[in-house]
Amino acid sequence: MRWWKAVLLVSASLAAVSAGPARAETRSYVVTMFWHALETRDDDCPNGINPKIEVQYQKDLELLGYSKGEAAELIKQDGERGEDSNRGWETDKLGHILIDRARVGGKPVNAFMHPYATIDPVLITKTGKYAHGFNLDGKADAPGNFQNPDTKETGIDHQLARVFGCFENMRGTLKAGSAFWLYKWSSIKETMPAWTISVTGADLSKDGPVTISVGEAMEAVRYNGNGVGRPNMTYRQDPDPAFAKNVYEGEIKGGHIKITKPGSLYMEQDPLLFPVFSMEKFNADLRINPDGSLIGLIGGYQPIKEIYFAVASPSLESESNYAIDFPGMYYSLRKNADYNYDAKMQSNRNISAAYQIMAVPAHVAPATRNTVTN
Amino acid sequence: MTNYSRRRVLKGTLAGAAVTVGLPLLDCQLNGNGDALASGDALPVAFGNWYQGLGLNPGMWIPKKVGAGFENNIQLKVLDPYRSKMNIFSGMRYFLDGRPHETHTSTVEIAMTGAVFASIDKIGPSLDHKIADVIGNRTRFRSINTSLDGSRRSLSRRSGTASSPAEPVPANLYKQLFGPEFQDPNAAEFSPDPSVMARRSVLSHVTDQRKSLMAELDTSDRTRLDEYFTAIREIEQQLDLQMQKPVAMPACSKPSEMTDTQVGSLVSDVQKNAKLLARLTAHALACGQTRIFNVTTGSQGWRFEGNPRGWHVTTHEESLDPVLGYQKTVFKFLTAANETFADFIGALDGFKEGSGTLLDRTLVLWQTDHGDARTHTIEDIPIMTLGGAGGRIKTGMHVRSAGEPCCRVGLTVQQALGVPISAWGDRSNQTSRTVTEIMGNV
Amino acid sequence: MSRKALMVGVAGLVVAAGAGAFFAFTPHKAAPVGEAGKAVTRRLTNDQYANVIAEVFGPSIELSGRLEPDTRANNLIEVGAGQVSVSSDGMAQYEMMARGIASQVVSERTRDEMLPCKPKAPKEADAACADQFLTRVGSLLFRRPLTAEEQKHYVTAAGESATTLKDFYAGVSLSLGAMLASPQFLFRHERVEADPDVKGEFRIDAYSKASRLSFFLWNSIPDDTLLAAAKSGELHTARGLNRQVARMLASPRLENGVRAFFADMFGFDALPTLAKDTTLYPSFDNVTVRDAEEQTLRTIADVLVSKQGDYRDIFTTRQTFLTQTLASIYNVELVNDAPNGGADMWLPYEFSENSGRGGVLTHLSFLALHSHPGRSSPTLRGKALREVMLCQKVPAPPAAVDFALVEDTSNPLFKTARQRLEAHRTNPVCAGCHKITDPVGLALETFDGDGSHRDTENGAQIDTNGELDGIKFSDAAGVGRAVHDNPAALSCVADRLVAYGLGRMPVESEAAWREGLKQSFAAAQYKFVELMSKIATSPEFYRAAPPAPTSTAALSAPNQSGQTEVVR
Repeated sequence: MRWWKAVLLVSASLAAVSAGPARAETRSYVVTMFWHALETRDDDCPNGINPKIEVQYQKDLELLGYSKGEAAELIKQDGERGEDSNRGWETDKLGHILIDRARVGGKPVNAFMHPYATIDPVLITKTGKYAHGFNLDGKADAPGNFQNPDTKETGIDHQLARVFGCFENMRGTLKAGSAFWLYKWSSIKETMPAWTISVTGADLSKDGPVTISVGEAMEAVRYNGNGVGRPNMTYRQDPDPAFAKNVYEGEIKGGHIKITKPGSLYMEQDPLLFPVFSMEKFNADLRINPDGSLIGLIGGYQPIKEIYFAVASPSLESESNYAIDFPGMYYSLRKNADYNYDAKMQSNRNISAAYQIMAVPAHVAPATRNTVTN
Repeated sequence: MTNYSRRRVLKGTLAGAAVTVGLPLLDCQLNGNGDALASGDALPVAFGNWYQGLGLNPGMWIPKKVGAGFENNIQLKVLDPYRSKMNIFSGMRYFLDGRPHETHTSTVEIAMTGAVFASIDKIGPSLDHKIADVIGNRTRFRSINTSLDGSRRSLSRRSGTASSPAEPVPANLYKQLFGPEFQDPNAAEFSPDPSVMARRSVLSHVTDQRKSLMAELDTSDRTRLDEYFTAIREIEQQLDLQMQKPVAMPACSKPSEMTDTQVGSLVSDVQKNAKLLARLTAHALACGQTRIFNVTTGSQGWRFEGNPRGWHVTTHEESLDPVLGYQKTVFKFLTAANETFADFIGALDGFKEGSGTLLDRTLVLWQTDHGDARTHTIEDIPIMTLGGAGGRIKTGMHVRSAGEPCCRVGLTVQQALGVPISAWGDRSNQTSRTVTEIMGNV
Repeated sequence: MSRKALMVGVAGLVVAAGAGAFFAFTPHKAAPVGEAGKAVTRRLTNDQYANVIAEVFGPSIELSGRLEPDTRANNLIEVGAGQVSVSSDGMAQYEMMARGIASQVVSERTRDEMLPCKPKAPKEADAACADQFLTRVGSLLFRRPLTAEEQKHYVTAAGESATTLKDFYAGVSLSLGAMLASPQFLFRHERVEADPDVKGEFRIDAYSKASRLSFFLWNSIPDDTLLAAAKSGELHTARGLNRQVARMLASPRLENGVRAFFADMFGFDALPTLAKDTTLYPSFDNVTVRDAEEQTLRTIADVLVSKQGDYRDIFTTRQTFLTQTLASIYNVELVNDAPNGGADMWLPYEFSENSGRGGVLTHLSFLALHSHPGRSSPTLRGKALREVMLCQKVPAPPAAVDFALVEDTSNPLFKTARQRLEAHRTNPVCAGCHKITDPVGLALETFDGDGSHRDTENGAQIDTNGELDGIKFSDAAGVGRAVHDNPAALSCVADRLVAYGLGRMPVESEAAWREGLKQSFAAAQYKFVELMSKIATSPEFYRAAPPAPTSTAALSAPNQSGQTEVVR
């Protein structure tokens, strides 16, 4: 991105503003918290949750052709190594077998990179009636739809809840989050470029139509000592044109900021979480708190490829990935994808998803000439 | 004779080069309680550094009341016997200043050295070394490092390339401390340190100028300068003391021999060994073998019998109990860890020295890496101190802070123990604000 | 001390400049205008100590220790410095810090740069080399040449220790450490001598004059040029003094001096320990406090030094400097134009006209410092404004007053501070003082306890009408304008600056001089630097009471340090 593009963009957006309402005002926010919007119940994994990882590995090894006894011995040996940060990768026998368990042309390849070349271990997915999210397809009661546990709204599209819903460390509630997502977020939030939300309307103190734009900042979110985002910091807008399209019609109504006309979203994040975070039919419903901060859901149809690599790319080496058989999860994603059918893949490419976010008021300023961009 | 300058006297001593001044410690030099020299000089202060990863359960350790007279919250109830001797710090945090959050690593580095390690050559000493520089140089061991999980890793380091190993085996530690090389602190001959003698001599040059300086001043300024010279004289007296045989250790006794024990990360083994290591540490302190100890708990790998999952993995995998609102197994680990710590403190507090206990003249600093291990937060980090460091630290306080750097406690502890620093920590972790509420007579 | 009474009557002995010897002075009759003020011996403040070490040894020397806290007297630390001594604990810290500095100076890394010579043999004493180094450093640290006696002491000490420790540098280090722990370094003692130009009057000697000037204008030690001017006698001539003052005012170091004065006058030493209730003000962290002080000092230095401006403008200017951290509390946009994710930067910023911000009274450093931990305080702000900016004394509240009404911010009947204070003022005991403080402070109520802006309190609109000494205003900016136009503010800063320079409160005999200073301040359109210049070039600034009598009793005073000699 060269600076002149930024200048063009700034002038373009200025033109857009001047064409709008005479006395438009803009209020901006920065996203300070992010996790998968799951609402697990005791009865939503009737066949039990996915087993502990050593049980799963036993199964994976057997699928690879190891005998019960051989597999058990490999797992036992690995357990005896304990959790020692000094243990060498070179001697991690089980790790090598599991990571290279995909087969391409009969040769072992990295299963995390080539999950489609592994044998489907058929992981357990969530059932149940409730999930948070949006009615993305407009159908009030299609098969597989959920109901919002709080508002009782029906027709909620959130198939990602099925995929993630029966792993112990991913299970959680909208309010408390889950260990997996909280870990992911806390390990990147201090360094990832912040996400910004700007709301423009004639009078933001009243209900009415607004324009909502989502962008990315040049800097990370600043947090206060209590772990809550520091309000009113200034963030520079990343002038990358890819983000400039994230503009939606919306409204302020009854203390909520909502997108009324969903569109496409393209965002980037720290590779540890989502290298690319994109959605079709991007929706948002954010409640305005008394202190001016926001809390609520975003959702849409997300490419399963992006989700898979977001969670699986750290392979076995990330401490967040101890508990889940990610190559196996690939199949769950594919089986539950519900949008954008690809005949070649013989499955959908996107899956309905929803995430919980929080945001605090911020100043969002255009990047200047001196700003170094990539 | 009053004109006979102290400097000249010392000069005479110095001329004799490395003289051994054999001054046996007489009973009359100890006070009636046997806990201090008759001159009023207290037994030496000691420092313990306790590091336990994986935080505490949010909402279950912060006392409701701020200030003195707090009640321990559920998870720290086990420390109730020492409540009047402990301080709890809440609301402090680590700062990464835009550097990546290496979970369980970045924050350990800040807790121990005040900074996230930049490069191997830029790693400062851990705070126990800075304290040892002040209080640890006159003992047989500069410090003793132990670990509770069988590993030889410790978090104590002199620099990026000099990290101190830990001793996990009680029987080995016994041999090091109380084997044939053990010296009874109440007996041996003593050679004064020539550098102390030189300092003492040079200082007398300052006092020698007193007369000519006083002559220029009016009465009020003379009074002020008199206070100055009194203060200088006290430093001289301290140096004089250092040139004498060190303080006797009236409570010193050799512990009974220790046999081999099973070491490892099973909680039952950890707790058994921790008790033995605590006993050895107490005897070592009481016998003046060291004034510094480091305990690395190795909590990450702690396991319960029959469960292959370590504590750390459990924090990642276990979901919140829908009724209790916390991770059940993690809570069990935390309970075990706090019991282990309480046992260790009990060993120090159970060691009587005159009218007080070993804990009274010790300062134990308890630190951790995350506020909530499950989510790896770097805010609201629990920190504790136990023991009064011989009056240098006031106890019985819960200090609630405004998201200030955890280094505030590290700074306070170092200052209380005489480390000459006015600020500690790097970038946003840096602070020059001592926790004045707990500063005693330093 | 009957001897002392006698000596006061007949005046006494004078110390010759720099020589440490004494000679008798002919008694004279006291002048009828009242006695001259005393030359005060001041302990170096913490900032001065740090400045001096950086000046002498360079900024790479790390100061690792805590110095005895500064003490405030008559609203100034610089006056308190003339009254404090050193405690035992404090001395232990000074001594430890001294050794720390000395060992860094002679460390293998820096010794070749710091020492002007190398010893003949590094493991032996070398008196010539030690002398060369210690004499030079000593003259900087003591701000005058060493006396022959001092020189001998320090060189001998270095030699003896070098021999004992078999290390030349260890010897020099110990001796330098002793110098840094000595009263000659830690205390700015001013020597008094008879003024040969005005019969019967006394002045501080040339080196003391150089020192007073440099601490007054630069908050640090004299440079070589100033010391040379003291040595040559130039400083004792009017022309020479003017020349030196003009040179010093043109130096970039003047900014340090101006900042030091205002940090002292505005009580910023209280900022580092300022704590706020974090539940209510989660953004108010220690970085905010640090930056808040810097913001105000930068603004002042910009107006008064860079722009050589009018003192009154600091109460009204909307121009300031902010960091991103500060900007978030002011809730203004401030783009950090550093590379992505760069650290906070200081950037010039101008508050908008309708922001209500303008002048230092609307800075966080004032608003938050003079508030309670959990709420704003019109009373504290009003009191501070009167005491700090106008030099007026507001009495302390009487004992046993019920503050329940003021403190209960949840009372639905009294939503705003104005309403609570009005209720409180129904108590006639309280009304008197609150009438002095509150009308000023209430106009600042649109700023919360952390200094952030608000329009309402507990949902009620805040009324910012106020009044200061007859000038009415309707908002926060009006408070600044009222101070700007208040003659007391001008008189106040002039008096504070005089006390700051002298290290004591002015005496009666200095009244006419002070009046003259104020007139010339007005004539110079209240240019602050002009006021500094006028003070620094006045002969009155260096006038001193006759020196202390030499009492033989005092010399051999049986005090603790003299008596507890132990010979082993």
